[in-house]
Amino acid sequence: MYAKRIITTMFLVTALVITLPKGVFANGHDLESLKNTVEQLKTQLDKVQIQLKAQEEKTAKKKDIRDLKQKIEQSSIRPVEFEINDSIVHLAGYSSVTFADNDGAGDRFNQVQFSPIFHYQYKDLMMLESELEFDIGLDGSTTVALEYLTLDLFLSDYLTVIAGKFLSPVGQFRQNLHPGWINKLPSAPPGFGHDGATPISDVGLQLRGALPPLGNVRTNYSFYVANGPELEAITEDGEVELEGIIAEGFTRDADGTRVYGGRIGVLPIPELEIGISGVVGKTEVTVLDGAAFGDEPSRRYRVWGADFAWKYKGMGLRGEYVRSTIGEVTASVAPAGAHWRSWYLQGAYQFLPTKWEGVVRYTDFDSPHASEDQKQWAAGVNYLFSSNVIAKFAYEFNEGRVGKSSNDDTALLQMSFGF
Amino acid sequence: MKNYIHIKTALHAGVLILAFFLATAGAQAEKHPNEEGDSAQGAKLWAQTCSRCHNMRNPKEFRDELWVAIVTHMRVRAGLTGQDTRNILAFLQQSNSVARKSSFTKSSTTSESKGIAGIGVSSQDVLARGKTVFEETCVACHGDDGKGVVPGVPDFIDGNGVLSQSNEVLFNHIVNGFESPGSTLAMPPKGGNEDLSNKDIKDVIEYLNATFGS
Ligand code: HEC
Ligand code: HEC
Repeated sequence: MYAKRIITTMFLVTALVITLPKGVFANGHDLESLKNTVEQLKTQLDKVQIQLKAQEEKTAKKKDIRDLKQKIEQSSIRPVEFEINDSIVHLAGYSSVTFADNDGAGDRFNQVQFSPIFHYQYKDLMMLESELEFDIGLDGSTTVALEYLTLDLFLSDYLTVIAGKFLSPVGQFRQNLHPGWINKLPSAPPGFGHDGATPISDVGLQLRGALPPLGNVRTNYSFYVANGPELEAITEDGEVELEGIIAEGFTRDADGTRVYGGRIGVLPIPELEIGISGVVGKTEVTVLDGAAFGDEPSRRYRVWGADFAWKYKGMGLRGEYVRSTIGEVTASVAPAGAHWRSWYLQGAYQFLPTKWEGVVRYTDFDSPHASEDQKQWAAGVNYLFSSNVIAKFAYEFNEGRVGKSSNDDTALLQMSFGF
Repeated sequence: MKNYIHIKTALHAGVLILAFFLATAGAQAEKHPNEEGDSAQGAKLWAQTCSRCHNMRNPKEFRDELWVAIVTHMRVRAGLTGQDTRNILAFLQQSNSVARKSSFTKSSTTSESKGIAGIGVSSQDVLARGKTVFEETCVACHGDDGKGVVPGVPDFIDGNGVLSQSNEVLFNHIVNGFESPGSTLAMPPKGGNEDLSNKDIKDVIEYLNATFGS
């Protein structure tokens, strides 16, 4: 609008200035030519005005721009079908690659792991959770395991029923800390890995959830009934002894009796969780010197554990104790009972605002075979590229397990990614 | 042997009673996970809960429907109540959207920012209102003492820190959310509480300056 007026005015002024000197000294002839000039100018001005109008129609007005903005905003709100998500598919998981330099076993890239997690959810009613674990063996072969597979049925705000193969709810390490991007050190504490001491997973039914909060105090629980573990025995110096508990989840129940277990976690304040767990039931020897072995009597199986986790800003302290006991039974090839016990204490500190984190862990693992007892100090430095992309460097000082490479000190480098 | 049978029976009974109680207590099966979340409560719970086992994951890392599956996964893993889960979900879904930025820009015309420049004389009233906002929405991450309780949150007490910036800058950062380069965690728009008005935010800035500023 303004532009138009300015141009018109300028045009007139220019015309005036050009014509004025002539007009001042005007005579009859001049007057005639002046008339002509004005006529010409008039037509030209009309043309310019028409052009301007056309131009104006093409350019947007302020109001148009505002309307347009609104339209863009509205259309940037997602289309309605994106709000429809009764059924959801989600892929998650983690992966890590580790390099180890062991005084006895030498140095090598010793672990490549890929663990995809699949989630299929229908409303707030059902979720399927499954984790596969792909590993590369020493000989280059790939092993695949169904780490867990559960159908989670949400019965109420406080209760979920879970059926399938689940991670053992005993303690924290198996359920909550084993993925590489979560564990602050590249290795599991002795006794909490796949070393036949603490439960790993089981096949059965689990009730899980939370109690209604009491003020600020929150309580979570899990109880389960499952097929239970089996036992492995070996012959050593002519005598048969229990070697380990195979607690990785069976779809058979060799002794025909289920095991019962669970955990209760209490958070008296939001920064602190304290948990106790236990398992009772029966089990029996099914493997002798690496071969299947049958017709064994069943015997007592007990686990109890306690754990805590405290977190404040960049600081995290946690610890865990687990003890597994197998009863004696005279009619067995390995009549003597046995117990495994392990505990660890771990402190981690992130030097905020940097991305560096330091961690120290002490573990004391006690096995029925003195030669397998192990004490370990592990210290590590991590660089957190982000919350889920972590480079770890750690050194383990090992003591015990005489004559085995796991007795030697080990330096570890690991790259971990959780997605 | 006898002992063992007793324990087993007791466990059976205990589990059944508990199951019945919990299944009936406020049964709300098939409630859609997107329903009825309170994002202000969610911000607090998120700050308290979601760094217990692993590093905090940034709300902006996932889009809305992925968060649905993730918080459901975490509900089972961490033993959260349904309501806690919905609250956290509401917070996460609100904190990951950029669309809200533009909806704010529209309403904050020049008169708004003039208003914020004009503050400075803070009546007790303003401070009291600001305190309420802080305690309801901000304290979850920034802490009573303003030093921050979650990794990645700045210390308000630091004299050369964030509060030395102008009120306009603070206003903008609080309303639109803010992430400094390389930071571990972003400040969610309006601290994750969509209900806060521009006036609430001005009040809370007054409160921050009066309480933690140098
Ligand atoms: C009790 C411990 C625990 C708590 C508390 C917890 N998480 Fe997790 N979280 C895990 C574990 C364990 C995994 C890895 C899952 C696996 O490997 O099976 C995980 C995985 C994740 C992932 C990766 C994607 C996925 O679904 O696996 C995200 C994102 C995540 N958690 C976010 C959260 C949020 C948000 C909260 C707060 C509501 C939370 N976590 C609280 C233990 C926890
Ligand atoms: C969920 C956690 C969370 C909540 C809730 C929260 N903040 Fe923040 N806030 C942060 C984080 C994280 C940062 C640092 C972001 C960065 O530097 O990348 C931050 C930064 C800030 C800053 C400094 C911005 C700057 O310019 O550096 C101010 C001011 C602030 N918050 C005020 C508030 C107020 C007011 C509230 C309540 C309305 C609030 N915050 C709620 C996490 C939170």
